[in-house]
Order: sequence, then structure tokens, then C-alpha cells
Amino acid sequence: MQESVTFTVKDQRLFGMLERPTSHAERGVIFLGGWAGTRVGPHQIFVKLTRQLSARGIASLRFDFRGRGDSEGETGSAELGTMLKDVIAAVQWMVQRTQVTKLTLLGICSGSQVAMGACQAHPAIDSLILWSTPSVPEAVGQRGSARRRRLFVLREYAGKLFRTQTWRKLFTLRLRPKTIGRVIWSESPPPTATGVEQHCLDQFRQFEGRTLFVHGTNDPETKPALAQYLPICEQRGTPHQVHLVRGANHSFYSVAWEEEVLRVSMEWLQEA
Amino acid sequence: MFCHPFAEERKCAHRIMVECARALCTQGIDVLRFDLRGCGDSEGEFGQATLSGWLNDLDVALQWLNQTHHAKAVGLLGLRLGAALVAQCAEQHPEVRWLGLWEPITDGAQYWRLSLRRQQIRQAITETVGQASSLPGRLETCPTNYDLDGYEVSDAMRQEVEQLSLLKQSRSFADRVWIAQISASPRASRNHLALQQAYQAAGGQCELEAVMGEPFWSLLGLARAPELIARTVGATRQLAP
Repeated sequence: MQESVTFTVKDQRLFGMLERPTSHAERGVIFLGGWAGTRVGPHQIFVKLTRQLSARGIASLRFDFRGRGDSEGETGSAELGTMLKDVIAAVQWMVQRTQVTKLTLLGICSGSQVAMGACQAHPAIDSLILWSTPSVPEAVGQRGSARRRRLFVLREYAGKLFRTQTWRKLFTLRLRPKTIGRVIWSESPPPTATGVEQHCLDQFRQFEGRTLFVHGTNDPETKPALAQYLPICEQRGTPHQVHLVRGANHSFYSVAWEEEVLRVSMEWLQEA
Repeated sequence: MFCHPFAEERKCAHRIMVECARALCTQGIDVLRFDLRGCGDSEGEFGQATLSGWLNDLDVALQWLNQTHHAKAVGLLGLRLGAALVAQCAEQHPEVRWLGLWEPITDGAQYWRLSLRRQQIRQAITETVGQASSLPGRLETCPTNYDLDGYEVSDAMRQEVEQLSLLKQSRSFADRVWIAQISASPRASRNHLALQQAYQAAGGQCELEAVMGEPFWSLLGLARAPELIARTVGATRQLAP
């Protein structure tokens, strides 16, 4: 049964939907949308999963972060830090309201980052489902990042060698070798993790519960994210599973991809 | 009363619809926003929805609004396909005094064609594994239905969308109409000009404004539309008795 609910963070109301099975639910799932997302999720994927969960005796909460969806707060004021505080408030609210003893945080994109950040917020949280989690820049490595950038620039210049315009510039002395050299060899600073991103990563490093990673093979974030998060799970020996949706993009924009994500997530939850 | 656009456009435009509703509230106008059947939080399956069913939802919502609010004047505001729906709904309800159309879909067949083409371009950029069959946009598991960015669209819905045209039939709504063309161009499009003329021919007062802005209904990231909201608030002053 679906019920419209509100809870408050810093005097601002957050709007959500609580879905509960007819009998008492031991497990609850909190859905966390992406940066610009809502409690419905891309192509209503959250709504579809909450209905499946309810049919299998699991309660769920979908809500809008402050400044997003229907919730109060300025659109421009929302950031990863406010999202994290909202998740922690949602966890407390959900446990108090539904009396669930086991809780799963399920996030997509930025929502999965804050799921990591809030994984220690309550002892009931025993599992994370992370869809298309982005990597945190700092941990990718400065040297690796600079090398990748340099290779990209070299490939771009190699491509230009086949253009007549390039040769015309060369013969008319309009090419600027110094500028090209600077572009290739410069060590532009790679992006670094914000304090909140680093905090989320640190919290995840201490998490002892189960984690399911679901990524699309056509999402450019998949490789760096798995390269970053899997060693953390392996080092700690925490149970984890990776599922790659073949051909899928970041938000799983097809019925077939969506069905696969729902099936894998549902099966994994039921194993718990 | 606000009517949201189709499929994922609803998700992308959601926050702007909320911001607009709040801006209207500060001017003393109550706003009803709701999800059509099978959309957002509402019950029902998107794959089983039809435009005629959604028109019925609008009728029921309007009745509910009249019964519970006893408003002196009612306005309908819609975005894209939602604008086409409120345009049809207004003609059945004499209590509607004002019609706001944000970038209305005037030609459903063209809208469907462009939606499929956009999806095909996206598929060409990425791999197509796991996607539907060789028939463009068709679902492999149910070839009569379509896969539009993860939304299952029934063939009945596709037919209704393709048949939708605000220009083929004469318009009968004869009160105040405000059309907002949202684009990078200050020049009014041919379809929007034709729609304005259709409303004027019906005897109504129809204003067409070009609002410079991004197509926020198709942007995946955060979008803002302060100018559109300000102009909408300005246009709804006509709702005052």
C-alpha cells in the first residue's frame, strides 16, 4: 500500500512515498535518486521496484532530496552534502515509522554515492545496491589521469594529420608548435574529490554488509568505478556482487535493460 | 491545473513545474499538479495507458478541483503533449477561463517520429545490444508495443499520439489562450502561428510569446527556466476577474 509522507530536515519538508506490504515488513529499502533525479527514478524504475518489493513483503521509501522533485529547498542549494544529510534523516524516519530491522540503501549515480556515505548511519543498514556509481576522482590516480589525457590529445592531433586544413596551415606557417607542445606535455591538475565524496568513500571502506554493483557496459563510468570500489570490497573480504548489463548506458534507458536491473536487484535482495 | 508532458519528459521537467506552481501560489493562485494514470507515483501501468484515458483523468481532476475548491476561475496549463491534452480538455469544460500552453505539440505524428529518431540516434552512438528488434523502437518481447527510453508504449497509445493534431480541427475554446514557444529562436514557428490563428478564429484572445530557453524537458541534468516562470506568472494575471 502506497502512502504519501513527509519528514523534515533543517525545517524543510521532504516529500516521499512509503510503500508497505499488508503484513509487517522486516526489511525496508530506501531509494536514492541521482543528481537531477526524483523519487520516481529514470523511466519510473524506482516505482516499478517498490511495487515488486511490496508484493514480496518488503517495505520501501522513495523520497525527493531537498531542492529536488516536490521537496522544499532551493534547487541551486542542493549538493552532495545536503543529499547525504537527507539520506541519514530518511533512514532514522524509516526505521522509526516502519520498525524494520534490516535496511537496504539503493541508489543510482549520485544517489549511490550518498548511499555509501550513509551506510554507517544506522545498525539496521546491512546492504547496499549501487546502480551506476561514479568513481571518486582522487582515487583514480594523478599519474594515470595525466597519461590518459596525453594519449587522448595525441590521438586528436594524429587525426588532424589527415586533414588538408592542417597541411595548409603547415605550409603557410600558421601552425604553432610551441602551443601544441604545451598542450601535449602540460600537467593539468586532475579533478580531486570533494570532502563529501571522500567522506562517502571512507564510510564505504568501513562497511561490513553486502553490496551489489549494477553497471551498464556502455557507461564510461563503469570501468573506473569498479576499479576503485572492488579492491575495497576484496581487501576487507566483504560480500559483494557485480552485475554488468550488456550494452546498457548510465541510466539503463531501454525496457530490456530495465527489466534486467530489476530482476538482478530483486533476486539479490531475496537472497538476503 | 497543470498537465505534465509524456514519458521521460515528465521527469526532466518536474522541478520546473514545481517551481512554477510555487511561483503561482505566491500570487494567490492555487495549483493542482497530479500524475496521469501509469505516470509518476500514480497507479496503473504506463504500457496500458492511452491518451483517451488521460483525457478522462483530466476531466476527473477538474471535477475534483471544482468540487473541493469552488474557484472563481480555472486555468489549465500544460507542457508539450500535456499542453495538447489540456487544449482538448478545455473545450469540454466551460468553467475553464484560461489556457496556458508551454511548447505545445501540435502535430502528434511528427512528435512520435522525432521521438523515435532521437532514440535511434542515441542507440547509434551507443551499442544496441539488449535493445529492441530490427524494427525501430519496437519491443522484442512484444513487437506490437514500443520501447521509448525504457517506457513501454502500447500500439493503441502510439496510434492516438500519431492521430493527435491541434491544427487539423478548428479550435472551439473561445476564452484567453497564452502560447509559450520555448526555444533559442525569437521567431515564432509556423505551427504555433497557425495554432494562434485557430484560437483567434474561434473568437478567443490568443497571445503567442517566444520565450528564449533550453528544451528543459529533454535535458538529463538540472535545468532552470526563470524567464518562462516569470512570464507564466505574468500571463496568469489574466485569470483574475
